[in-house]
Amino acid sequence: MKVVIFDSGTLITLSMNDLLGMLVELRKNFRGKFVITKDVEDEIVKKPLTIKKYKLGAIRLRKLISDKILEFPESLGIDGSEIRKISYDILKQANSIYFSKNHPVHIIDTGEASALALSKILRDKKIDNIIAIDERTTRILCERPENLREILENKLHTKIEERGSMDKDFKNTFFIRSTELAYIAFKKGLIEDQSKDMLDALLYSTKFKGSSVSGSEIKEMERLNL
Amino acid sequence: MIERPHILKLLKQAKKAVLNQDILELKNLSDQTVHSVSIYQDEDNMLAAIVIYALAKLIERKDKYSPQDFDKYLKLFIHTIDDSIECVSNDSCDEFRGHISSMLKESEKLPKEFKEDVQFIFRKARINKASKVYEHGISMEKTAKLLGISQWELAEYVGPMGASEYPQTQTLDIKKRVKKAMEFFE
Repeated sequence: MKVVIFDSGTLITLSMNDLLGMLVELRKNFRGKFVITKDVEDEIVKKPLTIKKYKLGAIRLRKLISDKILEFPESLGIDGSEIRKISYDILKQANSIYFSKNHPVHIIDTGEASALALSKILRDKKIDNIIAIDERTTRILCERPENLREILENKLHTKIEERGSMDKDFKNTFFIRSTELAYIAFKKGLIEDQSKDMLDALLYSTKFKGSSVSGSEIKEMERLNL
Repeated sequence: MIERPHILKLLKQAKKAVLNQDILELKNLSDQTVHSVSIYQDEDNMLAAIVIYALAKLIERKDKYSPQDFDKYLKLFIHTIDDSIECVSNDSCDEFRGHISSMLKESEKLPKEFKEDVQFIFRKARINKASKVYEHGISMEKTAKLLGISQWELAEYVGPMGASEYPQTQTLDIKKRVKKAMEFFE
């Protein structure tokens, strides 16, 4: 069993680019589950249902949940309370790493923490999993926390003190973005138009709707021969 | 209220900039507050940043409105800044928030088009400040909650911005990431 844990941003990017059909095809071709936590459901369905501009996106994502393209951790026998407990610890840990002027800088919130918590629970159960997340902070925090200190320091123009770190286990979290999902779908032939232009359009569409991918990364992806 | 002297100085400078109709200075002052918002994540710094940015946008668009309506609302804005300066000097946060909230309520009395524009400007001001906070290294969800907007609104705004171009954002060789992702989906 393999699991892709989705953060809200990735699903928002795909929805805003009309790429949810691509996600459905990816799921059908995947031997595992696509999972979201309740916190993520709030952000992708409940909240946007109250905003006219995003209501259609919310309804489409709600359908993916009812069609079981997106499932909840309970489908893996994981209880919400277990996720909440670990999320709380993660939030406490992550939000007391960086200090500016003796004040902790709170960097992540419950949805992002819940994705990390679920990933940890699955790792402990030896279930292979990855997190699909478009925003950069959570990813940098786990993959290269020193880079996050640099960003904070450069942008805030003040000394940032690192008073702690995430558990080493979080280094084992593997992240992808909607950009990589679009690349995979393209390479698997799930996108009808197989032109270079289409690949370029797909990858950049994710970038312009919130995926934290650089132009040079996209160029390199386009050159890859995988 | 965190960083009270900073907010006080900022409001005084903002008033001067409004009187000179100096849009660039107002935007610059609003950006200065983003540092404090990112670190302390408190409502007062955030409100100051939003109000000052909205003020800049309002002056920028003044030709769209009738001079009478614009002057009347601008006077109210300046009056609110004066009241806010007094409240912040006396460390009365609740009153400061109250004045801002009253000013927003007053916009309900404006002619329809102007009223809608004011509401749009304040919404945009929130999104603009949120995009800057995200750029400072705070996560998407945290930022959206802090500024009271949805992640959908924020995603649309931060996409075209340069935050993902910072070299620190690239945390793993792209070839390795793509290869591993492809293998996962095998």
